[in-house]
Amino acid sequence: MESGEMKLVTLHVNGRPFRRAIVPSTTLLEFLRDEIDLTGTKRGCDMGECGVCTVMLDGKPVLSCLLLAAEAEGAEVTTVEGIARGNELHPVQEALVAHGAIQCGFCTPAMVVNAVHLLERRPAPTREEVKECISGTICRCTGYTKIEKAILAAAGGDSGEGGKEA
Amino acid sequence: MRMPPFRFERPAELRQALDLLRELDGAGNGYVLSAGGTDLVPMMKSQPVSVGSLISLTKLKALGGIRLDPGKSLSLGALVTLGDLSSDAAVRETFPCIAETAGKIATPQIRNRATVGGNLLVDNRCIYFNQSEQNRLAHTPCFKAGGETCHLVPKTARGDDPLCRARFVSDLAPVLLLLHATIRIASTAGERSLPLRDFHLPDGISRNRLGRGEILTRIDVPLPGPSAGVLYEKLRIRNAIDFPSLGVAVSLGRIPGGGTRFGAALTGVHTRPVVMQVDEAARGSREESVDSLIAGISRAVTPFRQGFFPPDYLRKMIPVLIRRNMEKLLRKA
Amino acid sequence: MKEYQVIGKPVPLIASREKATGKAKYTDDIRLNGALHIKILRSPHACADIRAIDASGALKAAGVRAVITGRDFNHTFGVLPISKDEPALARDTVRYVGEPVAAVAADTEAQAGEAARRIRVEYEAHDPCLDPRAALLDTDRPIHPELGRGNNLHKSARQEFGDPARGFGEAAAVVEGTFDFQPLTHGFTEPHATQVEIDAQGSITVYSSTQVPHYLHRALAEVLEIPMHRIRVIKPHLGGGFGGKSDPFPHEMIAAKLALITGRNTRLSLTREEVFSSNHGRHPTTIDMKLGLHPEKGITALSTDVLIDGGSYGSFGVVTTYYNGVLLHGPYPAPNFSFACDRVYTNKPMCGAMRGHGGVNPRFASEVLFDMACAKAGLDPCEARLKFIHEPDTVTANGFRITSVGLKEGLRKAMERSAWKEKFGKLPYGKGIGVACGFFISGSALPIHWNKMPQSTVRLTIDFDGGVTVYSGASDIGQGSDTMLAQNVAEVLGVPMSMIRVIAADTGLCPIDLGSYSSRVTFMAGNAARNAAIRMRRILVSAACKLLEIGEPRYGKPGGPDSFFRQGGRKPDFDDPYLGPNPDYSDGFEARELTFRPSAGPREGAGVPYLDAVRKAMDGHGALQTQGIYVSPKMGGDFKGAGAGLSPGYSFTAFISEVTVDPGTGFVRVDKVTGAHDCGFPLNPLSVEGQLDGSIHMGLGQALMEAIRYDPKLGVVQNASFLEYKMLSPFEQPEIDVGYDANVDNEGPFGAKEVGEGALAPVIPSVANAIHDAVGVRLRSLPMTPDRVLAAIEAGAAVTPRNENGKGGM
Repeated sequence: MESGEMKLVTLHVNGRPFRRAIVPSTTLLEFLRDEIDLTGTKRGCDMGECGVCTVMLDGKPVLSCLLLAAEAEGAEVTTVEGIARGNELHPVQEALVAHGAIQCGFCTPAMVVNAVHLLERRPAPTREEVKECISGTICRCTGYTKIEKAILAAAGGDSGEGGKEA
Repeated sequence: MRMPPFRFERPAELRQALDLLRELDGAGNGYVLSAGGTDLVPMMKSQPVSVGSLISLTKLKALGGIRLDPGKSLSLGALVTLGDLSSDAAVRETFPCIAETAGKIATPQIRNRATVGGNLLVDNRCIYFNQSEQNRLAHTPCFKAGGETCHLVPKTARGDDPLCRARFVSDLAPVLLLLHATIRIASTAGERSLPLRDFHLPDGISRNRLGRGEILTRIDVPLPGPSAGVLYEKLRIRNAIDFPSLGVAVSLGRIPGGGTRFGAALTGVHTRPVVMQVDEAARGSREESVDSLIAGISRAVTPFRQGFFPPDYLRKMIPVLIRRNMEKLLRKA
Repeated sequence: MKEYQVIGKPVPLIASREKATGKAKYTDDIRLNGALHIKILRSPHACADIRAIDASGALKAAGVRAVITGRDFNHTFGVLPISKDEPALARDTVRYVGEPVAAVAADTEAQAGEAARRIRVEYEAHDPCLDPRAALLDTDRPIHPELGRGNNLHKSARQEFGDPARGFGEAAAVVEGTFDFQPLTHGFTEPHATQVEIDAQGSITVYSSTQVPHYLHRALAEVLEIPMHRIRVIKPHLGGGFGGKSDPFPHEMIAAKLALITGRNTRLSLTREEVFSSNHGRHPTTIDMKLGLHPEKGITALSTDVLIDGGSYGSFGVVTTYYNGVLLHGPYPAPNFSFACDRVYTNKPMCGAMRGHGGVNPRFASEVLFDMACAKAGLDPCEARLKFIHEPDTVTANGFRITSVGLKEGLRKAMERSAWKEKFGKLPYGKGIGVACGFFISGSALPIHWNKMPQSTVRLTIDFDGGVTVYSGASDIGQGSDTMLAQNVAEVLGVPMSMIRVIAADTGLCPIDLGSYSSRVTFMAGNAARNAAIRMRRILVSAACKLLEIGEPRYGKPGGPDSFFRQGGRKPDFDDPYLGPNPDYSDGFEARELTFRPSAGPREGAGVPYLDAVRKAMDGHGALQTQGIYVSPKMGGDFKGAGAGLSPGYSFTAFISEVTVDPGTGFVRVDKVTGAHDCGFPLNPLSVEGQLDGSIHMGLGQALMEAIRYDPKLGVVQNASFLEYKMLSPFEQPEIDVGYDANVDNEGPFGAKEVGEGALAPVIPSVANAIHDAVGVRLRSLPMTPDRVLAAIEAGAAVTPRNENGKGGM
């Protein structure tokens, strides 16, 4: 196709429809960040390797940098902005905050999406399942340790206090 | 990173899709088929040129679903995601090795889009090819990138077969090969099926026998599989995301007339998957059979320095992993 | 131990709620009106002369507003004033694959990319110099001819103390080895990004993912040739740095230049591959080291000869050159010491500072040799380390003040928790346990730009509603420095964290702080914040006294810790905002829960609400403002390089790692890391643990898998992606049990020292030493990949007899 040819798409993001004319090669990540200014979803590598662009597509975590926006038509997209209810954080978000599982925070939106999905599917996950659930998103700050603890805590498996010796 | 522009089509029926392909072929227009897109999109982001049309297969119901025909076969739609494959009850029941292998591919997010068909068709990889546009400018373009050089085997000349040594990296292929899977391929001319073992080609560019105008629709796995089953071990430095540096599948079954059949299949260390079987009856002792299997299959592969592990190490690991997993199967049998 | 209200408590980082909800804005999340997109054209050659650049095709392309080349800049730059050798765009020569050559500003990203492809650059390519040994040889084509050298040497450092020859003679065990290290990169998840906003007067606001807004501010002014007051640098939220964003970068100069030329806002964000080719990571290194150990005297002599491959430009390299030697003066005394290090230029992306800067590779060598020496001398590796760790309040051979040392007790406890005595040398073949120690600076005592300004200044304001605003130039890069500043202020003033707002890393609003590198922020900016808060407290206490109708407290002579004065430091003076580091601020009042109460005297227990004190103090005065600063005490010897590694405080670390080695495949699994880190008093246990977890993660990456691979002929990065540059996944991260028992440092704010970097280095040799315990082989090259481990086992099996429990000997 000739460059500049636009396609009109309607995407449902966090429960709202967004109708935009885009070039068909637009990825969902580009749609979210550049077309509708939902910048909570991050771009880390754009090649499907770092996982910080994770969003839910019909309830399942996918990489928005590898998905054409046009492919998301007819599906429900949930980004990190769609997880909290107003000012009330999701238990996963609360746990990540309380456990010090957020340092630079660039992977956090993806970790939130990963973990919310896991706990919907497995309310009492094992440590291995938690590792698996976050294994597609790179966190360079935490070594994953506190993220795992926080997710287990959100599932009710830990005291939720954090601070080994404090 | 913007992809070059392309036309996007998402046909609703297989017939429509096939007609579209024939039409594009007839007009001499380029196209690519896209299922999960997890292999295709990074490739397109590294290419400066448009692919023409991108035909999304994601609406084709004929390519979906897992169907179990008890006692006969397990049929996997080419569009079944690796995530669904790894958790499907029928698959876990009949061929746990398929589910386990699917669960070791890439990452959870990628498995929610990537498909069985896509895994069998995954592009061969090479450190000189799987680079960005900018990075590739530092090299003269290789055959796979449309040039006239192979950086792995510099003496290669056009006309050689294989022309390209980019390595085959599907995890599912070795397992499905040992399970004697067949694949179904549709075109406007109808449907054909062929054994998976005849599907892949020993060249990193042509790669397989999927022709223009054809769509891989289903993978059929005959029941029952080898009596003691199949095991797959994926050698990689970390237990996440990585392609197999070396993938080893082994199988143990009975020969209809008595005796044991040892099978092995490899991925990651050659331009195509390699599979081999040895019958104990023909070989004397069990050890000799396994030795001969290892010797035979090792001769059939040519690993190159393609990233993390040096090739001599990968060669050394072939017998180690075959023996270890064969012992596990023998203990089970 | 004093009981604090906020200090020492697990406090979630103050930005974490907005980060958890996706509201936090990182540089690339900012939306400026009509911003032009920038694409940088980069060199495909590692070494070439630029004969001509024809940008006419690009200038004609749709949407293009400007194209710039090296001719548009008159000045080079660099983080260190002594090596400002980097151009924003290459001018006559390119020195590495990926070096910026030209840049396009266009209306859309796609247009910028398309136009960049149409720029024709005529190169005359030359054979690149890629081997650091070859870089020492004479050449007709030095990479930096402006240095006037006939080779590619960048920096040589030589130091000697005591009498190494005599020291080796006194040793009971002398061991030596050659150690080899690969290039590494930081692996932060946020690619570098910059956006520039320009106003009608031509003043610019530069939003950038930088650890060093102040140095960027300086470099922009110099390179763009406009005064500093016309530039405002703001660091939005930052997605990881680890040293990789601690230099000014070409793309920052380019984005600003294109804004000035076009009068339009501009934006750019590097691709992941561009991040890899910008690098600034850990130097590839070869170390020849020799260590002599005596069972009673400790290290009798240490000599090291180091070659580091700096790549194409200077960056922090001069500092790295020294750190490779000077950071060996801990954690044990080494009275007889000789050190030589050469940094060379090669045609590869430059190397610079990366977490544990310059100290990581020599630590691996010294701690492996220490282990070997223990084996040779028949010493238990933990007991020997315990015995020889620096004593507090001592001075090293090269003049470092060692003030607080809190490691011995921590290591003893770690030995118990890990059951060291029951395990070392006694585990079955394939299982092993190993120990290693380290130490690191809490900020460099000498500023990069030599001047007498404070290294950190913090300003506080309180307005009529009682809310406290902290202004600091320090860069929170995810390590939590904003939270740390707020804690210091909250504790002193007795106000809750929720009433404190931190405005940081904005050169238009905040006083100068040198930036987030060398683990300096807690110690330096923390002290500055604490001192600003003490000054504010004096104002409020004075107002409270008026309200209570009692006399004001007598503060007496401003106090300071003994060790500080004993070893020479700046004299504190209350008329000067500088109060000395970590002074006692007792004033007869208790300030907590928004109330000031006299703790003795006629009005003991009478409460003055914080807000009343604030309003009283404001009467006829307006908003309250104070300023606190930090200046390092004078220290160090008088010889070349004496300043390198000087720090007002040093952290100490010990790790005991347990591993499982698969002798069939060579795979190493690190099962558990037990240890101790002396970070002084832990201000925020959540942050301390997070830094330790992260340091272990990154250290184990270097230990087991991380390495940038360059094409040996072309110098192009072969694994410029997160798929092929291997970093630990959650499955490889071990169980961690590291204690940080509160040990108060006299000079750190509330007794704190560094925790962000020091813990990275020792985990690597602890794994190597554990591998030796498991399978009897010594690995001297990193990463310790399965193929290397297996090759060592096979080679060892051929020459080493097994001892009684199935393990190899030395």
